[in-house]
Parts: sequence; C-alpha cells; structure tokens
Amino acid sequence: MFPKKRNWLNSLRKLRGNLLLFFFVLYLCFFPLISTPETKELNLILDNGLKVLLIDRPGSQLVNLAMAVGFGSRDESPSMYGLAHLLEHIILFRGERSKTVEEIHNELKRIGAWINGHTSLDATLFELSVPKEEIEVGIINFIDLIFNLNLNEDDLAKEKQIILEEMNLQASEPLSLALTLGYESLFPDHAYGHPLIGRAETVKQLTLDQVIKAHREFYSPTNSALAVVTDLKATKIEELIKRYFGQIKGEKRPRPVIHPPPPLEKTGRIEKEMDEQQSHLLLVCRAPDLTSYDQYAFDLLATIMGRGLNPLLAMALGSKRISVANLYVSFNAHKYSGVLLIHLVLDPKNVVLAEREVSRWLRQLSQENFSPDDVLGETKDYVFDFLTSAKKQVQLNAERSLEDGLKLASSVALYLLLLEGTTLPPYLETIEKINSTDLRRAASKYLSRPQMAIIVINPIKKFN
Amino acid sequence: MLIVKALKRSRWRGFINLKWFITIHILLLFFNLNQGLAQVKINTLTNGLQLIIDQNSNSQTTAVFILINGGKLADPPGKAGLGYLVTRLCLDPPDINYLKEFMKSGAEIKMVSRGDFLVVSIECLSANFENTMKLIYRSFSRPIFSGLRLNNLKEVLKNNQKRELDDVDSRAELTLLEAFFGSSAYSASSYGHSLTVEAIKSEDAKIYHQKYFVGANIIISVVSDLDPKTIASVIESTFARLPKGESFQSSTPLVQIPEKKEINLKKESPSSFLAAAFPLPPLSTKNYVLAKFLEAVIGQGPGSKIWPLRGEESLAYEAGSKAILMRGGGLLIIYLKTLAENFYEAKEKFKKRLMEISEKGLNEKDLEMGRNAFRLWQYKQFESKIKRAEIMAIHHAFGLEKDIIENYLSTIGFEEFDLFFKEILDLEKAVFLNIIPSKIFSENERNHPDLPF
Repeated sequence: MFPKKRNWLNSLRKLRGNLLLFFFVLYLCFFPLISTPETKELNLILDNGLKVLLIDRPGSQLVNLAMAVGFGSRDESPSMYGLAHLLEHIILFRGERSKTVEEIHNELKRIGAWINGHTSLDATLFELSVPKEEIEVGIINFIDLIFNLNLNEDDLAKEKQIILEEMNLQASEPLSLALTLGYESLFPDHAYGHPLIGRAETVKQLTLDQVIKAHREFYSPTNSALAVVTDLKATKIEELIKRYFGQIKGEKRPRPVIHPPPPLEKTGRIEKEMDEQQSHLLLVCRAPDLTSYDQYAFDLLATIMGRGLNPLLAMALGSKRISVANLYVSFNAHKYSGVLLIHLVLDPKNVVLAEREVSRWLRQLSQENFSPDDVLGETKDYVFDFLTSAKKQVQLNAERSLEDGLKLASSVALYLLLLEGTTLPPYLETIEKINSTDLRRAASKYLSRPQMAIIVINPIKKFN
Repeated sequence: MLIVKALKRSRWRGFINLKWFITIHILLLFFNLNQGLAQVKINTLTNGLQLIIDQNSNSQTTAVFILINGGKLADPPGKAGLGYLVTRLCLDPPDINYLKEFMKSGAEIKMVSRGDFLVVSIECLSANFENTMKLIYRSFSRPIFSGLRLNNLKEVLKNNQKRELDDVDSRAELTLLEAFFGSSAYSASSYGHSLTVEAIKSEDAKIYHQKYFVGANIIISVVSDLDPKTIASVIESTFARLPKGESFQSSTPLVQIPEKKEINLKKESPSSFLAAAFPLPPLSTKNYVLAKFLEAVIGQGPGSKIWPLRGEESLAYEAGSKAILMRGGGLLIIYLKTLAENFYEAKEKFKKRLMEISEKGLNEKDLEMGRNAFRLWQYKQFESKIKRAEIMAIHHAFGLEKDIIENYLSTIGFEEFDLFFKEILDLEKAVFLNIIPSKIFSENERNHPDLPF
C-alpha cells in the first residue's frame, strides 16, 4: 500500500507541476490580450537641433508623422500678410526639389501615403501617414518637399491664384467669414488680428524673394519639432529619423518675439448679409493662453457651456424661450492669448434677443452653480452636476486623442514647438482637481468684462 | 530562453525536456498568431440582434455603433423624416433623473439617417460603458411619444432642413440624388420636407418604432478595451431584451438616367460650384471596392485625374470627387469650386477635362494607386474606435465581409478596373450641376442649351 501511495503522490506532484507549467504557458500566451499596453515615448534632440518625440503604437500598420514649423501668421509684418499660408501651399504643391513636385506626389500616391498641411496663428504643420513597409520612401519625400524648395515666378503666380480662390470660398461660408471678422475685431493692431490667409491685395504683392527668404529663415531644424506615432520596434523608426531628419540643415535664427495683445477697449460688432436661410451669431472673447494654468478651467467651461446632452448655455437660452437650431462652443488656446468662440445658428428674428442674452449670461457666469456641491440642503436636487459631466467629457476626449495616430502626432509636434521651456501640470490630473470655485474665478477673470467681438450674419433681405 | 533557464533552476527541472520545449513554443506561436483574428467576434443574440465585438486597448474608451436597417427607405410615402424623428425621440431623455445620470457618464451620442439605415453612435469612457448602455436602452426601448416632444423634434427637423439647403455640398448632393433617383426614398432629405414632417403623427412614430426598433433589424458593433465577455453581458442585459421582430425588407430604388442633363441653381456668393454626377451600380463587394478606387484615382489630391484643374489651370481651391454608396446604387460626384467670375472658363475646362479622362482611360499605375489609397483609407479609419465600429457594422449590413474585401483587393486585375471605369465614366449618363449667383444663372440659362455636349 505504502509504495502505491507514494506512486500516487508522485503522480499528483508530477501532474501539479505539469498543470502549473501549462497555466504559466497559457498566461504567457494571453498576456498581451489582458494587459493594457503602456504608451512608450522616446524624446530626442538631433545634432542639428530638431526636437523629436517618438510615441510607440504597437501593432500599428501606419507611421504617422507631424512636423511643426515655427512660422505662423503672427510672424508676418503688414507687407507679408498671408505669406505663411502661401508658403505652406507652395511647399505642398509647387516648385522643384531633387525632383518635380508632381513626381514626389506620384511617388507618395504609389506607396499609399497621405500628406497635408495646415497654417495657424503660431505655426505651420505638415502631416504624413504612410504604411509602415514604405516608411523610408515616405520620409525621403516628406523632407524633400518641406526643406528643399526651389521656386519660380510662374509657380508662385499659380498658387497665388489658388489662394484668391480660397479667400472667395471662405467669404462664401458664414462661419469662415464670421471667424475671420471675429479675430480681426478681437485683436485689433495685434499680430493675431489679420486674416490668416492674408488679404487679396497683400497676397497679390508677395514676391518670390519674400517667399524664399521666409523659407530660408523659418524652415530650419532649430525652429521645428517632429512627432511620430508608430510601432517603434517594427519600423526601426529611431534609426531612420536620425539618418534622414538629422541631415536637414538650416540657419540658427531666433524667432521674432511678439507681445501679448493689450486689453480690448470696446466691443466690436459687425453685421453682414449672405444668401442663407438662417442667421449665424458668433461671439468671441479673450481667454487664457497656451501657457496659462487657467486653460484647464476653460476647457471645462467651454464643455459645460456648449457640449453634451444638456449644455448650460442652451438651458439659459431655453429659459428665455430663445430657440436655437445649433450651438457650438470652443476654446482655442494660442501662444499669446486664447479665444472663446460661441457660435449660434438661429432664426433671424431671434438674433437680437440671443445676442443680448448671451452677452449678459457670460458676464454673470462667475456666479453660476456648476455642481450640487455649490448649494445647500434640498436645493441640491435642482442643480445639475455640470462639473462632473464636463470632467468626464474632457477625459473622454483626452482618451480618444490617443486613438488617431496622426492627430496625436500633430498635437504633440505643436506642443513640442510652442511650449518649449514651459512646464505645465499633467492634464487629466489637473482637470480632476478643478472645482466650481476655480471655474467661477476663471469666468470672472476673462468673461466678466463686456468687451468682445460680435459678428452677425443675416439672410439677405429677400428671405426675411 | 530566460524562462527556460529559470525553470531549469526550479524544482520542476525534471519536466523541462525537448517535448515540453517544443510544445511551449507551438502554443506561444499559435496564440500570438491568432490574436489579431480572434479579436473580432460576431454573434447573433436570441432576439436576432447581431453583435460585433472588437477588442482594442489603444485607449480606455468604448465606441458603440447601432445600425437600424431601413433608413430613408423605411420612411412611409409622404412622411419623409419619420425615421430620423423616431431615432431622435429614442435618445430624448425621458426625465430629469435620467438626464442627470446621463450627464455623469460624459458619453457622446450622435445620430444620422442614411439611404439604407439609421445609425446611432455612442462613445464613452469604458468605466461608464455599462451604465451608459443601460440608460440608452431605457429610452431606446420605451420612448415617450407625447405631442410636445414630437412638436419640439419637428422644429429640429425643420431647422436641419434649412441648414442642409444653406450648405452647398449637401444641397448639391440632394439635387443630384433627386436627378437620378426621382421621387424615391433615396432622393429625399433625411430630415424630410416641411410638409412631410407636418404630416407625421404620434401614431406613425409608435408604429415605426414597434416595427423597426427590434432585435432582428439591428446590428450593434462595439470596439473597446473591455473584455468581450463583459461587453456581451451588457448587451445581453439591455438590447438583447428588445422584441425579436423582423428584419427590414424592401426592394431598393434603381438609378434612372434623367433626360435633363444640366441643372442650374441660384446662390448669391463670390464662389460658384460645378459638379458632374455619374450613376453607380447596386452595391456588391466588387462595386464597393472599385467605386472607392475610382473616387481616389479621379479626385483625391495631387496626382488625381481632376487635379490639373487646380494644379495647372489654378481654377479652384477645391476640386475633388465623392462616392455615395447605397444598396440599390449610388453616385460618383466630381466637383469644382471656383470664383463666380471664372464660372464660364471653369465650366468649359471642367467638361473638357472630364472628356479627356473618359477618352484616355486608365492605366496599371491607376490601379495600384487605387489599391494603395483604399488600404490607407482602411488603416486610417481603423485607428479611431468609432470609425472602426462604423465600418464593421456597415460592412456587415451590406454583406461586405473583411476577408472577402481583402481577397478581392489583392486579386483585382486591371481589365476589371478599366471595364468598371468605362461603364461609370460615361458622359452620356452624366448630369451636370451648377450652383451660381443669379446674374450668371440668367446668362447661363439664356446662352447655354440644356445639353452640355
């Protein structure tokens, strides 16, 4: 019996060992499925001064690159209005490089790559998405396109004509027109005030020398930042970035410093007519800049005002029986000033009332209850928890921004370029700590003043 | 190897032999190879609802795409906009407590009515997924059909109708759909017309809801970092409780080539809009892929066939193409936005360019370009969870399975592509649309006869 028992025990031990080993192997197999991958990042500064951030996206089929260049409309003197935007167009579509621009685009198309550019007040951004197998060809053409420009008069004239087309298109769309007019009114005599794409008369007068000089002065590695989102291991991207982007040469020239805009002295109001059936009302206010701690509170305020299932502003207008077809609120933080935009689409007969009510409401926002915790006793039941709702929405947006590789690369590249030397507290942790008092303080600081820009686009009279 | 070394030092040393070593490696290989394929799960629940689940841990969010078959096609005659209205009603908070709860979730909901189906998209933090779905199911399964709510939503529809007509792109799309699909449901606005919206009664909404908001008529796709079992159990406890009902069945409207080949619409603006629309055949895997190829090759960016009008002629800031794909057929729209004062020159060169494209045909490079553009489009769409959920649900609804698309994508030959191109880009079947200021409108009507060629 004894030896038998011993055999039985031995078998059990052996089986236990086998089972443990089997489950250990199973755990190893499924580990990638049950673990949340950590976002790995790699920060580099190349020998030529280019700031680079690589973000790991294991399993991604694409390489998403964004190159931010420190040249925006704010860098333009009056005779240069529209130059940054024109240059972005030219880089994407005109001139010669080591080969013609058509050849570059044909090659990018052949490998299934996608390229685009955007100009803003503070910077110009170029984006490239390319299948990971073709990354080297993508990078070579991307660099060629952006940094090796060789332009002639004929190409310049052709792209100027396209810009004039774009200006007309913007003038045909109510929101684009209202935004241009809104920024002009909000930043009079400041570098943020002139139209981003310039004015027809200045664009027509821009010369080949001006374009080439701007390219030489601003398009340098020290004045640029690169962000890449991809599967770092699968693409060997670090080596490629060092090899190709490290070769870019350029002048080391400090970017011109501009001053923050002085306080706005009076409200500017502009009214226009267009061939539309509904009216557009745009109210634009100064808000915290990109380096300010108040921007966190403003992200929440803009969300509370205009987003989600129950926006506070819609409630306020509804309580006055002002019907609105569409409501959109956004907060854009630029380097030297932020902007709060409130856009309403509504029946023309409601415009005057809505304008008055929104202006009044904004000035009183610093007394608003944003959470049941702001009140006592039974009154709590009558207060919506706007604060928690906004925090969740902001958190959702932050999480979503991790999904689209190109969007993530673009925002990181701009962050690297514009916030160099600035330390800001971690975004979501700070958002979580904000309370109603912080919101009221931010509203009081920026929105209690009556000065703002108001743009009204009404249907032309025949529709009234 | 580190694992093996560690095990060798352990008390299980005796078990480490060649047999085990090979088994471990085969198992590791098997499970890792199957990770990508095993993630997408498609199940039909007891009430007929089809559930697609894809696990993706790029973010801690969950994207849900609810597809209700029918769309504009299910709107009864004279009641266009009913489907949109009922879906909005299903998302309307029934009471204050519901609204408070929903606000706490921070979820985002959008909806739209398309030719063949209604869609609701939901995005939320994964931690709030269960609560969000329970709330949505509550209003979705038991909407309140009160006169007050109905009237409020009718105002929303009327406002959306105006917005749709103010926007040049959507106005052009509606006009061209009407040209090819006549008075069928495909050509109607999702928001209906002021008269059709007025005609909707609360009884119509109830009947529509009972008939189409049922398990057998719904596909739900979910992309999330959550465990598929958790997702399945949440859907089981909510949407799987909808009555089974029946799936929407209807014949689809077919394209008819209109006699009128040029349409002029007025809009006072510094810009003019020119478009040419070509009919697309009923949807199949082949037609879907080839239409997407054409869309890319003809009008998407530098190197596309229409690009010289921008690149060489400097005639437009925007020149492109768009494919509208529906079960019964669709449209390929090629367009140009140009200065109003350049209208005549642009019109002539636009038509000339289309003739050149049609006559010259395509080449092998175009096929490769189309194939690569399609692959890139898929990769990009699949990065965002909500777009991934949308594509999975729509492909499933149209019977376009991923493997079949992938297989077709790899095997498609030039002759097939060229044949499709010749069939589609037939100028005899095209309809031209101009949206222009009234001054040019009068001149154009006076000086130019109806037929463009």
